Parts: sequence; structure tokens; C-alpha cells
Amino acid sequence: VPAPSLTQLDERAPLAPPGGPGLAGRRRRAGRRDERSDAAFAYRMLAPALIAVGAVLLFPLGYSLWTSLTEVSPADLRMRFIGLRNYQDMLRDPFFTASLVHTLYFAALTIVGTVVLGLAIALVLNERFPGRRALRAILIVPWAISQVVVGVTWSWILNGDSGIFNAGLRELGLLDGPRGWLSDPHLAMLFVAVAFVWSSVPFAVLLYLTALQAIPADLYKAARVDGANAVRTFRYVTLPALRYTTLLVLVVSSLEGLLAFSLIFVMTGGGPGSSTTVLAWWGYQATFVSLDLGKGAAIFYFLVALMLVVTGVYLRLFQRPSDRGDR
Amino acid sequence: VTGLHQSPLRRAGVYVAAAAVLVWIAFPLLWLLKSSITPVSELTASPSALVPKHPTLGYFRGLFTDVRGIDAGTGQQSLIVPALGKSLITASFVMALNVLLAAPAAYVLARFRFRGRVAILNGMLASRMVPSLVLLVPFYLLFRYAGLVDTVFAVVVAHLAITLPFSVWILRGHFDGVPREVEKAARVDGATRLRSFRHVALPLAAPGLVVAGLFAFMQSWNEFPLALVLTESPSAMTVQPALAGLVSYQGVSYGFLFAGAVLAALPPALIALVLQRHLAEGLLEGSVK
Repeated sequence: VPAPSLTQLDERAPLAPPGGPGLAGRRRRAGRRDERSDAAFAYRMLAPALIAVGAVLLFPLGYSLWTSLTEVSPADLRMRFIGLRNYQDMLRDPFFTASLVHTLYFAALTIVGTVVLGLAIALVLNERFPGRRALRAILIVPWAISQVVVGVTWSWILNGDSGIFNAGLRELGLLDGPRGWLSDPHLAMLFVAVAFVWSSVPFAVLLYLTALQAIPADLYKAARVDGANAVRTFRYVTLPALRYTTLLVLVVSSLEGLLAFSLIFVMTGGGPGSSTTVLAWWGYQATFVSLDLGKGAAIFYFLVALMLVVTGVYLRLFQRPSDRGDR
Repeated sequence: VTGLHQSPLRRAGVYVAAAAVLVWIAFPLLWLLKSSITPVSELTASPSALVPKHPTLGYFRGLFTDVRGIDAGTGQQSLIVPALGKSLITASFVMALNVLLAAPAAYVLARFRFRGRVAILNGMLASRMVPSLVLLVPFYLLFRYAGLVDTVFAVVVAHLAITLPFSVWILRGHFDGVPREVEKAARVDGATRLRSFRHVALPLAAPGLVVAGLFAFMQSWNEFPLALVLTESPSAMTVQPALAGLVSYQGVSYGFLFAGAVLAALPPALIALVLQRHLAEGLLEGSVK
């Protein structure tokens, strides 16, 4: 956007009258009126964004809630109000419990993986070694690329016949012959979670690194003076300072884990069987394969409710009256 | 902090750990890259070869030239390049709309005190939490009713929904960081509020506008589920659903899939590398406050 530089503006702006009593008085009197027109100006500037958010986000959100209370005819998409029947249907569906369990299992795997690996990698990157800058730079790439690309990459790495993972295992003598990890109903979820953690961990590392660098060096000095060893220093100096960041990482990774869709789509398609059918995938199937849009909307709304509950639990857990060590 | 008193043993431990981190982060990326320039026959014959014996750009070329039957037998891979173009158009519109709509809002949220300000800020924060999945059904239905499914417009609107609140939020942070003195001087000199926004605050916040814009671009480029259900044909399909379609399409050679994945990964990877410091700050800004 070409905009005049500050110097240009200064040249074009009218010169201020020499500051005298007249100017000050005028400005005092104008104070109230100024405030009111400030507000008017603010609302005018806000209007486009607020209207856009209302139209493209809040309206569809409400419309989705309405849809979840209707039966949508697949033929002509006409809606018929049926109250809470979609929700009852959903709860009675045999897929419901299975999908819920799969969702929670997947989320648990990815949450633990993201927090543990995120902290571990942050501790490594907080040390000094040659190439640290470069490593920190590429760290962000797995997070920046799309889930579809992540899924393609890891499906290939884990490919039963020609994947490098199995090739490596074979070279080490741990495996002979092909083995499809993603077509194993007991292990598929675990391996999708590995791919998920790979892409979500950079975010956690960045947050942890920022928190680690904010810990005052004095605390470490004091710990050494007191004769604390590395483990105790970590336990009593580092960890308490990371409480708030851990909450943040937990919330973000839980929400992402509960909503995982793209990786499931690319890596397993909910299978084998229904072993990786999470709620998000089930909702998609109900909506766009079974063409039951009302029920699909109900499933997605249930997922949002689950998100809110999980977030609420975290906030409860972390808000103890005693936490004074937080930032 | 700890660098001054490192024992050799500790230093060795750090190096080993750093090497492990490097492998964990970089290996999958390099493996995708390697696999995209290796003939598929070689990939299946020697899966553990770290370097291709006969590297080829054939798969990349194949994506652009619509050659049928290299070892694909179909023209399915020819959907990728048009989809890259659609992604570029879609993400550019999303970027421009984000900056245009978010900048004025973010500016007044940072500069002025007025009734409803806190409510709007909290609303923006809450809106950020809305998952795109819950928007699949309503956007599909509404655009179906309007006859707009499978248009770039539909995808742009859907992507605006998931990016705009975040843009407002991070831009507000940038305007907060722009010193007010110059604006005050401009106001005293008789510039209107709008003029001092456009000619003083906006240029000073330009780096923030770039960060917010590129971030929106990246999100739009990477978004999959909404683009999946709102597009059906090459006339609107972005690269993520096109690539996912290639995965399930049995006849297509792996080589094209990997070459397509590399091309799809390139823009967001470059943006992230260029913006890395700002990105980290922006994320913190968005998630901490």
C-alpha cells in the first residue's frame, strides 16, 4: 500500500498555530465532544470487521445449531424441525461410544506426546551448541506445512512395503517382510498420533522456549549456591516456572487433538474397520457420505461441547489459590 | 546461562540430544523431498537408500505438462497445478480481505476507549476458538442453497471466517506497539482521526500488516476440510483437497503425489522461515493474552 512517508505528511499538514492560551482553552472545552466523536469514529472503523465476523462466522454457527435440530432431506436439502432427535440418534448410535473413545484416546496420545516432547526439545534448544540457530529455524517447518502434506509424508515413511521405517527395522534385524502399521487396527491410531505430534510439537517448543528464557538466571545461581543438583534445580526452579505455559500447551494441543480430521482422512480414512474413526471423522461421514446433515451438525456440536468441557477442566485444575509462582 | 560451566560429558550429551532433535524434525521433510526426485521403481527396489541413484525432476515436470502414462497411466496428477493456482488466488483474496477488514478494527481497539471495547475483544478471542469443523455443515448448506458451491468465492468466505478474528487480535498487538506520539502530533497539526490512521499509524504498523496478512495466507493455503466440502471441480478446488484426492486415487504414481506435496508445502514453509521470529511472537500474542 503506497502511503506518504511521515516527512511528506509533515509538509502537507497545516502548521499548528503558535501554542497560546487560545489553543489550550479550545482543547479543554472540546474534551467531552472529542470523547463522543472518538467513540463514533471507533464504531465506524469497527463496523466492517464486525459485520464480516457476524456474517461469515456467527451466522453460520447459529445456522449450524438450527440445522442440528432439523432433518435435512438429502434430495432437495429442505429442512424439517425435529427437536433434539438428532442428538438422541447420535447418542444411541453404536458408533458414538466407539468414536468418543477413539477421540479421547487419540487426544490423550497427542497431548502427552506434545507436552513431553515439546518440553524435551525446548530444553535441548535452550542449551548452546553449534547450529542452534539453524535448528530453531527449521523447527517451525513441520508446524507450518499442511496436515495433508504431513499425512502424505508419514504415510509414506510408514508404508508397509517400501517405507523407510520398515526398511530401517529390517536393516536392524527387527522385522522381516512387510508390515503395514496403518492397516493394523491396534496400532494405526498410535502411528497417526506420531505424525500428529511431529507437526504439533514445534508450537509447544516455541512456547516452552519463551518461558525458559524468561526464568531469571539469579534463580539458578541461588539454587547452585544452595547446593541443589541438576534434578532438584529442574524440579524446583524450572518446572514451577513452566506451569502457565504447560496449561497453554495442554489447552491448545487438546483442542487440536480432539479436532483431528485431516490426518485421519489422508492416513487411514477412519480405518482399518472403524479403528481410527474419531468423532470428527464420524461427523464428516454422517454429513457428506450418509448425507444426514442434521445428525452431522449434531455430532460437530457435541465435539464443540467436549472442547469446552476439556478447557473448563484444565482451567479448574490449574487455578489453585496457591499458585503464586505463575507469571 | 549454563554455557559457562559445561563439563565435556554434559556437552557431549547436549550434542547427541541436538542431533536427535535434528533428525526428528528434518528427516521426514528431507525424505519427502528425496522421494519426490527418485524414480518410483528405485523407491520400491531399495527403500532404505538415503540418496537417489538416478535423481529426476520428471515428476515435477509431469505435474506441469499433463503427460499421460509415464508410469501413472492417467492424467489425475494434472489436477495439482490448477489447484495450486486456485490456492494462490484464494489465499491472496483471504490475505487482502483480512488486512483490509482487520486493520481499522484493530487500530481503534488499540487506541480508543469506548463502550463495548472489552466485549468486542473477548468476542474476537472466543471466535478464534470456533473450530472450522463446526462450520462445514452450515457453509455447505448455505452455499448449496445459493448455488455457490464449487466457487472460489465460497472458499474465500469460509476461510475469512477462520482467519479474521485472529488477524484482528494480532494486529491490535502490533498497533499497541506503535508509539502514539507521532499520531498525537499529527492530530494537533489538524489531521483528522482517519487521516492520522491512514497516513501515520498504518505505515508505522506496516510490518505488522505483513505478518498478519502472510499468516492469513498461510492458514488459507493449508486449510483442508472446508475446501474439501466446498469444492468439487478444478474450477475452484484448492491444492489440499486435490492432494488428498490423489492419495486415494490408486492409479497415480507415488512420484506425482510427493512432487505435489513438495509444491504444496513450499509456500507455507518459506513464509514460516521468513517470519519465524514474528510468527512466534504472533502466536504468543494470540494465545497468551
